[in-house]
Amino acid sequence: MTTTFFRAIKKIGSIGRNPSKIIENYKLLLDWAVGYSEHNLSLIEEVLSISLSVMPKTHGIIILETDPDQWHDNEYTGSFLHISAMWPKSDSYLFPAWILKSHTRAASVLTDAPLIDDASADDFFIQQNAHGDHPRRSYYRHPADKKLSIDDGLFDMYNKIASLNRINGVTKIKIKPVVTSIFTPINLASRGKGILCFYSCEKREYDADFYAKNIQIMALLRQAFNFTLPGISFRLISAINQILTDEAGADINEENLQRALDDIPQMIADFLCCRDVVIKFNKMSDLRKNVYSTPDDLKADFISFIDACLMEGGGKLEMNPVGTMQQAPPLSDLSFSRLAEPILLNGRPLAVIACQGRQGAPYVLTGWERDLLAIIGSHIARAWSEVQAKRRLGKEKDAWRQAVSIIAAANARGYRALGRGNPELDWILRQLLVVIEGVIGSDKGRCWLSVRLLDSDERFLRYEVFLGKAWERLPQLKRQTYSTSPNAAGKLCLGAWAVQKQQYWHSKNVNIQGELPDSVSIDDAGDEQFIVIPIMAGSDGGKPKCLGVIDIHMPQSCAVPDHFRELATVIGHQMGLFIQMTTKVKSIVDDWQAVKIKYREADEYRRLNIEVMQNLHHQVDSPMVLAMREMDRMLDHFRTRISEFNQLRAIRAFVRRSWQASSSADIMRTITTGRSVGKMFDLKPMTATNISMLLQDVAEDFRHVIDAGKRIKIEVNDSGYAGRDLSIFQYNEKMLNQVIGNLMDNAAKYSFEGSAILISGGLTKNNSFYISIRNRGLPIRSAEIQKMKERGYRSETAQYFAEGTGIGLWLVDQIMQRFGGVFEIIPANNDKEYHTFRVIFTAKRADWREK
Amino acid sequence: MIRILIVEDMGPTLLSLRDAIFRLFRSNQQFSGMTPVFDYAMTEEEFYKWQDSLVDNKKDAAPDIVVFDIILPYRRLRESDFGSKPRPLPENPPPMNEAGFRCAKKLREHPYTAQTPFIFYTALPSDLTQKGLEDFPDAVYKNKEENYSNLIESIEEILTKRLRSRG
Repeated sequence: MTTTFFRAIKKIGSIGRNPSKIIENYKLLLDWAVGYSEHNLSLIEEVLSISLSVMPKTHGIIILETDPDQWHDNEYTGSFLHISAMWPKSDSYLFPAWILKSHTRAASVLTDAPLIDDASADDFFIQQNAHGDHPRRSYYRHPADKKLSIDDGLFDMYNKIASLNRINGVTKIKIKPVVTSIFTPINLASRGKGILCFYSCEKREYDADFYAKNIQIMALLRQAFNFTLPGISFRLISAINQILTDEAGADINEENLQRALDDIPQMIADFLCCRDVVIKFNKMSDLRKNVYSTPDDLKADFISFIDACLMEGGGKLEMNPVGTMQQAPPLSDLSFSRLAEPILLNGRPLAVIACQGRQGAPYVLTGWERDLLAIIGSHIARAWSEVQAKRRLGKEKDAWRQAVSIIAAANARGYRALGRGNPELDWILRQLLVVIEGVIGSDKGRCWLSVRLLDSDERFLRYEVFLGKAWERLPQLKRQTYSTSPNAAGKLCLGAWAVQKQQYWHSKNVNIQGELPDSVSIDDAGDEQFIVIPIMAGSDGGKPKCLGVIDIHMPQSCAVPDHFRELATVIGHQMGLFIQMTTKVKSIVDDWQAVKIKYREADEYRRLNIEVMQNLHHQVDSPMVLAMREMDRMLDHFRTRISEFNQLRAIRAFVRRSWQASSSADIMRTITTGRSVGKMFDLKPMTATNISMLLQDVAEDFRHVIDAGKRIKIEVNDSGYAGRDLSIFQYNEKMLNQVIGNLMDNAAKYSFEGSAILISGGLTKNNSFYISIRNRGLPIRSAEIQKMKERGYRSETAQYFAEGTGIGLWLVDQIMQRFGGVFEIIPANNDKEYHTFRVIFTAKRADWREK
Repeated sequence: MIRILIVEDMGPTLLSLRDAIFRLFRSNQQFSGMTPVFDYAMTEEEFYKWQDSLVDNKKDAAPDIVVFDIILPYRRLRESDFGSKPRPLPENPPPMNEAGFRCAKKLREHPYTAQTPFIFYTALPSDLTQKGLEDFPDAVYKNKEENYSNLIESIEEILTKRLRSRG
């Protein structure tokens, strides 16, 4: 009790029993009620008590509770369900409190007590007479049609009480008939309409003023009740609101909403004296709060009731037929009073508040309680709506934050990739798809996301990146392409439409075909949601260009937030920028790679030049040294008697080898610089004699040049072409000398010790002329054949046995190409067979020189 | 007895060098009565085999002087090394134009030849051999382009010191 309340009581009590003062001071009571409207039904009894304290002792007040559904045109046709009463503090008029205090069994007995016609009128009168203070009255007489007026109902109740008294054998109760009564209808918290009965049992005459005053008192009392009712309801709603808001009372957040939804059912249950109160949300609300105290065998029934209410939007009211409550039935047979009220949001049921009455009572949930639940529901709906808005806002912020973060990371990664030459476009696009999936908020993998990009000629859209588990089931779809042109029926796929229109498109559970503007239609979409986002990027001319589309298929139940379109558009632009940047990066990287290759080639060229110069120097120097030695030996000729001719021949061979090495450098320079070969390739017709002499000459040179320690024989066989007319073939003597010399040099280096080198020539089946150098030596793998013709290539094995620069065979190949001929390497199948190095000359061609 | 090891892949060069040293021994008084004994290695591998043969009971086989060519193949190309059971080669081909330096280093590392004097005799120009020569500051370097007599004079000088040190 508040201080205000005590002050009000004291003030009222000090006024005395003057009705005029009571009227005035009831206003104080009202003031108190404003400040004290606690969620407590006993407040009504407090008000009654105060009222009685200022009334004559012989006065009393009874509150009769009625069944709201039994009112018809201001006539009440049912039985009273509940009684609260205050009697003056007089032993003579004291009713047993346990009977009149809303006791369910008492009410039940009252309801079902036999009517006056069935009771013994004598007993009633005897009891009355025994008291002896009051004259007989005929108030109990029941109308023949059994329709009770309010007055009749009251006296009927008294008779029932009398019957009750008799039935229970209670003899101490003394009842005096009411001589004066004033009735007024009231609203009762949780009990619907009721009747407030002010009565007096005194046999005393009251003047008109007294009645008028008392009527005013009743009016004020009713006002007090009427005020108290919404007041205490307000307290409940206020308490609920307090939970819904945060500690500062300023904000509603998700945590408070969850906590409130835990507590509110119990608060409602306490307030409405219900057994169970359940708030059940539909699936889309993300909130599922259920509080049950119902036994398991009844819970299913209640759940089905709630589910039915939720499906129907609530508002379902069930009442027990009062007449069936004569005796407490078995628990399982009970059917309970139930009420369900929907929580509506924008006209759609968000949730339902369902209540179930207490077991065994003729307890009726009324329309007023529905109103109360509706008010509570509206607060919950508002809180939910605010939380959802915050959640959406939070999600939007998160989505933007995530998008910015990903885009920043992608930017950083992209720039890092620039240095490495690997822009990782797939990774970047996939990360942006992950952002989109997060914004949609569907369960991971339920949506299908993809990026389709235009071909370079912009004729087709092809899949590039995928996200979503669904793609795992459709590998064949990933390879599908979509034409950007209309098909035979003049229809475009939606992706192509988005590319052409450069517009965002979102279909929601509609047949997309026919929905598109400009009478275009798409080839797939089904009944699900389908979103297409153009990937835009600026072009050099400043006009944006569409590079492809982002596709999103999603189940119908996926909610697409309001901010999605804006964010998706930004992501589409960002994707466009990345794709554009990647293209540029790739271009730069390709250029850079080309530069690196050129640099490497130049470096290799430089290295080779050094090696070649070094090698040539050695090749030139060594024969010269040997020539010098031979000359030294010539000086000793007369002592050693070595053939002067052979010595001179050897010197000539060494000098020619030196000259040939020097010539190699000149030819290589000409070829590698791309200069015109010009006179270097002046041609003349072949003759068998000339070729034979050339080959014999080279062979003879090499017999002197090859280290005698290697014991390599050189054999020349001209039987394949001797006597033939070779004039249709043309050659340059210097170049052919170079070719044969290089092949012989190669054979000499890589032949087994003690083996033979065979030089021969002839005509092929195609009537081409060939010269072959065959030798047995270092094995050649078939994979090496082509590489052996490359400049600078030396097999790893060769590097163990002889020095070289990998120039000789390359030079042979280059020269033969310029002859319009062919250089072939046919490796031996085993180390017993001969490798064949063959140069082939085809018939004369006018353009050889130009080659 | 004077032992001379010639490491040279070119047969004619090797023979002419041998002849020149013979002539030196015939013409120089301080070598009179001595017969030069020659050992030859025409590849890097043959040098290693020769060095492996320098065991305790053949300690006298250690040379008095070594003449190294610098560019040497690792192995001679012989048919018997191939076929069904090829003779294994080192994992990576050693650079051929540093073979003489590797052999000289092995010579220095062997206890019987650590003090043996040697001469690099090569056609490689001095700038390309500079790096390898840094490891052998006391080695004699002779280019094949030089007059042949310069090499013989260096050999004569080294052998003369060698004989004096023997007493």
